[in-house]
Amino acid sequence: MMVLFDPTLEDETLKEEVSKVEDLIKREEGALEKVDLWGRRRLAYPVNKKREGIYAVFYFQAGPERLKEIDRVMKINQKVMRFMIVKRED
Amino acid sequence: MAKQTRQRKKVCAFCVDNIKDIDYKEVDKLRKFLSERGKILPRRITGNCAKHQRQLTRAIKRARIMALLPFVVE
Repeated sequence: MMVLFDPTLEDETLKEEVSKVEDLIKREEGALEKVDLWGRRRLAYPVNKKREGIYAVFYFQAGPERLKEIDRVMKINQKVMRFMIVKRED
Repeated sequence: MAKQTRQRKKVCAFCVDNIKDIDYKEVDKLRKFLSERGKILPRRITGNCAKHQRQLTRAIKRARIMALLPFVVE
């Protein structure tokens, strides 16, 4: 799952948000494998009127029902500008 | 008369590098397959094979959703 966080987040709150996502995955019995924090990056086009964002990629495994819940909770989070859950090919 | 071949036949860049799955996160690689306007280059220009071109299209579209690549370049 790739997550695009709001660029106005401070380092401190970003850390909180990242662990919130980690907790969510764990709570939904997902096997969290790796978190890849890309950091701040210029966006190819403005999202929510912002020209940059903070990228993070979460690698995990979870069943379809769990994914639905993860999807639902992620949509609620205001600090998340955009996110995408993608099935890995390998 | 048949036209002379003006250019050597291109081979798929992904087949050459032996890449099985194209990753939407590798933006720099994907960018090479966009026109200046941000459009996906057709196979006749890139010389990609059908399989990889399909994968490439999908990867680019995913990257666009995550604002890694532009939908249009003005």
